Amino acid sequence: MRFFDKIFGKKNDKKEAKNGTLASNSLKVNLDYIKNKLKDCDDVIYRDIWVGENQQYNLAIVFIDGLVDKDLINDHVLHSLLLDSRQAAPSIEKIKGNLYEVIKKGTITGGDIKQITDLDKCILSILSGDTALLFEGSPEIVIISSKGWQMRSISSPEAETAIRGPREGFTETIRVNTALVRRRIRDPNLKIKQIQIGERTHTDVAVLYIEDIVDRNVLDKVMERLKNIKIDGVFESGYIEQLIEEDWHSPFPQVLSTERPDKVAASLLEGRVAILTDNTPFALIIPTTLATLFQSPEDYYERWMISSLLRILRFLAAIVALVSPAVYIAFTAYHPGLIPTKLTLYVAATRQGIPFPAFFEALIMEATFELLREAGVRIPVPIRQTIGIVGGLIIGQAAVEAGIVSPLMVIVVAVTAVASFAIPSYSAAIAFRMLRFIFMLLAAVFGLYGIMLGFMVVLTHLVVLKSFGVPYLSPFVEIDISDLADTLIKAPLMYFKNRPEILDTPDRKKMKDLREEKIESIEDDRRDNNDKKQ
Amino acid sequence: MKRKLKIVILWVLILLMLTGCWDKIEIEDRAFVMAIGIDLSSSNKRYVVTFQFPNAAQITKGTSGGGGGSEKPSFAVSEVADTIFSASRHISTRIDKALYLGHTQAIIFGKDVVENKDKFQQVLDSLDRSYELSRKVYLLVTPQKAQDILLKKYEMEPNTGAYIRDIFKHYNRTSRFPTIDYNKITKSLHETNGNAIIPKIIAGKDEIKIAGSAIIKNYKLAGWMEDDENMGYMLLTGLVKGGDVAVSTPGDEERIEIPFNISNVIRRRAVKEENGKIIYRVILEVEGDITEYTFEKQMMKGDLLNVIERKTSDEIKKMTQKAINRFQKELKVDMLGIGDYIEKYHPSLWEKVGKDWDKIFPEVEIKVDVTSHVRRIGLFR
Amino acid sequence: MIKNNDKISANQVAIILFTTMVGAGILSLPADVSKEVGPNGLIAILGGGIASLFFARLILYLSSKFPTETFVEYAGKLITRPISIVISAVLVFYFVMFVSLDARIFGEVLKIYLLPSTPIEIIILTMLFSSAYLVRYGLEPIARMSEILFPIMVIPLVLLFLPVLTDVDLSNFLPFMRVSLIKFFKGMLMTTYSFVGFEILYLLFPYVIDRDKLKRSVNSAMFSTMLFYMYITFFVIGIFGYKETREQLWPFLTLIKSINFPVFFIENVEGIIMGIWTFTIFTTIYSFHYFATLILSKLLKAREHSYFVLPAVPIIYLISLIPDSIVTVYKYAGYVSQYMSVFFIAILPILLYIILKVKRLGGKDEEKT
Repeated sequence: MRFFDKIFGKKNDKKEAKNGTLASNSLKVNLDYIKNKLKDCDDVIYRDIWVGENQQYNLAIVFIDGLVDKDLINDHVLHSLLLDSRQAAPSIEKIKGNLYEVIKKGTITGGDIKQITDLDKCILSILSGDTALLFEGSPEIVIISSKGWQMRSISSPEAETAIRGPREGFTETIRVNTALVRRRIRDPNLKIKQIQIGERTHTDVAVLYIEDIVDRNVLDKVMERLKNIKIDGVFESGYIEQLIEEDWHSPFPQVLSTERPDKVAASLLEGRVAILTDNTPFALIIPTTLATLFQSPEDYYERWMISSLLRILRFLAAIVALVSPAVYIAFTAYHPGLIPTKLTLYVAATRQGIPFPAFFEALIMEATFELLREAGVRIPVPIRQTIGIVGGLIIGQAAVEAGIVSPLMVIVVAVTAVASFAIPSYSAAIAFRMLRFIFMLLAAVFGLYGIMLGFMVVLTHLVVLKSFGVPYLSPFVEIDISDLADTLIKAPLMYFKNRPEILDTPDRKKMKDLREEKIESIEDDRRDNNDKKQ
Repeated sequence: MKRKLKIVILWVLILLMLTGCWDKIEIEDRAFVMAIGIDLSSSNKRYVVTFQFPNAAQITKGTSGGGGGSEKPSFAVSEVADTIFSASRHISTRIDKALYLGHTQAIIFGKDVVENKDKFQQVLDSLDRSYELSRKVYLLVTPQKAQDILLKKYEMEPNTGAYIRDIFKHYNRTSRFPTIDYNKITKSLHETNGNAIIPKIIAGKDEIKIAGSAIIKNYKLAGWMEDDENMGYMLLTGLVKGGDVAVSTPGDEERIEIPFNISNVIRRRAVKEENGKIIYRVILEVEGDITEYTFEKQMMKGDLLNVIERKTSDEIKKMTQKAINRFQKELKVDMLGIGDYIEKYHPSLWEKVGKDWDKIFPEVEIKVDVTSHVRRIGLFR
Repeated sequence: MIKNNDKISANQVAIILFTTMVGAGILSLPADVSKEVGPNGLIAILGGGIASLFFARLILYLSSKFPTETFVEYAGKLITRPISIVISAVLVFYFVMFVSLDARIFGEVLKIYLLPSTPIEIIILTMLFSSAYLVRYGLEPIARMSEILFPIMVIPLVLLFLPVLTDVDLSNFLPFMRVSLIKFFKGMLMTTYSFVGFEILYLLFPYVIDRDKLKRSVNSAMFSTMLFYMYITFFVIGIFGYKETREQLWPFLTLIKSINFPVFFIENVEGIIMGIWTFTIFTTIYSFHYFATLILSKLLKAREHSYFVLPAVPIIYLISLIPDSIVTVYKYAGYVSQYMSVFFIAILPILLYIILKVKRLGGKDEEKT
């Protein structure tokens, strides 16, 4: 893509020409090369070994302390090489000239090995936690996978807890994460393609999809854009998200991030693509529409009526979070005739003596709330609870009693804050939080008309936005009733026969019409019971 | 460069607009007028307009504390001016808040305004054209001066406008005044070229009372209607939703008055032309409850209910007759909707008589047939 | 700029038609028909609707004969090139006039009901800029926007009138049809201003994916519009009666002010209606805006219509400020709708149809009967 090149083009020429350095036959030369490159890296361990019946063959292993599973090296590599090979030494003829092959094929009892001849790739592997086994007299290097660093154990996802549903969340190790997904989809068609992104970080990134279901257009776009990323380092999936999004100016995320493997698995079955990034528990799901941002996996595990009501509640919450302060400003300052008389008089009464106009009052309160929220993230855990309650209520109360804001304003702000937490996707909630201020400004200048203008502009933006080719506001636009069943409400599972229409998947049917089956099985039961009676 | 220019222009435009907020008036800076009173000045050349609005600060203090105290719960200000709305403009020289008419609940016309055809028409027009006034205001006429009514403070509800509105809300308890809102009044005025009925309001010592109505003919006050006539009028025009009729029956020592509480009225109409005369029939079926009797006697015995029903029908017929006399013989103006009915249901007849309706109306023979049914008698036998 | 391929479905066409037609017309429609035909306004709208349906289908038929071309191109084949260019230019002017008029009426209404002191220029400008923002992106986003705004426009209006049902006096619709035929046709003519919008069918055809469903779309759009108008007029005349209705400038809005919504604490549904009405005008304005720039781009053989979108804004703005007051606005609206509309809706299609049949032109017959 042209525009990606424009941005990253400058970095393009630097790293390109490396073709890698071939290893030589001499162990010493190879080792020197490595030691030179990894100079001043004191966590690199070099160990010389002599194997063979008479310890005549010189080998060296290189690994990085802290990244490797020492037990594996001790038990399976060193033990095998040093002791076992002596006990079960093959004949000398076989060994001569082909020590390497012998060892590789017969001796190492570690499971995952490969061979390379490129010294730079060797260094990269060492840096990734593998162990390199170098031979005297052969340019071949055996790379033994020995990754075993300290990592967080699988715990419940912090940002996306659910009442009913699995409590497993992704961790920071990509292999663990791919395993979590594999466990849920035992289909050979689940493909996991791994690439490395980041010139200096070489971060592992895995793209997951189900071959015969996935929407090919989306997949191709994703792969293309990933390949075009040329950046120094990728530390979090957020980097990738921003680099492959189409419109990064938009406040709305075009990629869904989640910590939950069940959400990823469900999306894959719908024909979407998932991206896992090493060092972060947040996976990306592509493509995303506004509707998916309001779905929570719990909706599928609970009964459909409550899920539907909750979904509707969430939509309303989003509107409330977006527009409440603006509505307050518009109706009090511009159109008091549009609210009921008793309410008007009440608001006028409560606002007696308040030194600020409604707009500033709202602005101050909202800004304070945002401050509190931001501060709350960084406060040490023991005080966190207190600040949450203290900040919200007491400051608000104090402000009211000081006569700076009206009590109704405090309620509006509190309701807004609570409403924004009801939105399942954090990034979407952020979008609404930001837009809220724009609406307030518009309401302050144009009243109700300002709010309408705000809607027109925001809707225009949403209508134009596309996430990897899928219109962002599907399924509200290009209406397909079957998709709507999963958006506004949550129809019973029985109704979901097909995958989402918006994705161009080859395999439409995902579920036999369970209703028919269910009825059939009930009929069968009844017949059986009748037979038994007779 | 082109992109930067666009952004700069956009920002300039936005900043320009922000200097605006042309319409913003903070809510506490407004005076929400609840009731307006219109009279003529002593020279009859100008208007005296009175605006009543509540004291906003008082409202919350009232709810949290106990009684008010020294604060006044509402204000009423009068202004003399040439037109209604210049009055509201002039008043801004004396009030520190911006008058807001969107919540006005009631507009009271003093007697002198309604007696003056030009002035009344002018007032009506300004009310019609106004965009701030809601169409849910109630219009009222008072035989006194509107200013007097509004300047008083009433214990029951200091906010006079709300007081009036709440009285209207419970109108179905009585048929003592017509339940006509602004829409119906203007509709009637437009359609019949200046005829309408407007409820009447008077101020007592410590309260206001809405009963009876004013008859407007050709945009001028033509008379007042009291209780019975009012009810008769409402029965004939199908406006009755409740009310009571007192029926007297012989008792042990004196006559007993039994109230027949109307719960429903079904009205049917028919028009016939006979020998060049138009006969208009109104058939009323009235349903109701009996709520009082003497303590000892039993109601379910014998013929009592039939007697009561017959007597009620007679009473109702008398009421309607009073109304008919008023309109047909005395005022000679068709407020009973007869012309309207003919125009809609018998258009061929209307084509014949429509043009001269004013002359023909007094000659129309109006027959009223009433049947009453007692549906409920309470919990006692 | 995200490119859109400008292909829309027949379903979206129906919705675009509806939202384009329902615009400023609803405000004054009950008053206009009451003036001519009295209590029979509903019938007049029915008649107007059926006539519009007829002409809409006619225009659709014409367009279907030239499936890959818009009016600008195929008109030249039927009537000589120079004349077709002139007519296309007049069509542009016609659309621009409508945007200006609607924008002006919108500003006037807003000034009266919501923002009395705000300069009308600002109101009109902000509306036009919002429209320009959307129109620049092309036909697809316009279709999607209409799809989203359509339920927001229709459902609340339908629901909000229901509590008023008890106040409707059915006798207000009598006497029934005692009006001369001429008056009745005049009444139907009055409805044209409200049905204007389906001229876009001259231009839509090449952009539609499933063309065989277009007939159904046009049918449903015209019927829905007609029913919608009838629904509103029913309530207005039912409550006010025709004599009162014809006195008012915007009986629809006066009715809104009278509605008492006792269920919720919202006494005044005015606020909601004003908000929704903003959307209604918005859909009409951006639709005409887009199609005007589309014709321009085709006439001047430009690559992208978006070049003309922004320059059109000041022109529309200036035109909208020409009339002095609301009275002159409606006078102009009358001229435009009665002369130019009738020409484009009725006379032109019939003319073109005759020429078509005479010359036996046109591509393969797209119609499946």
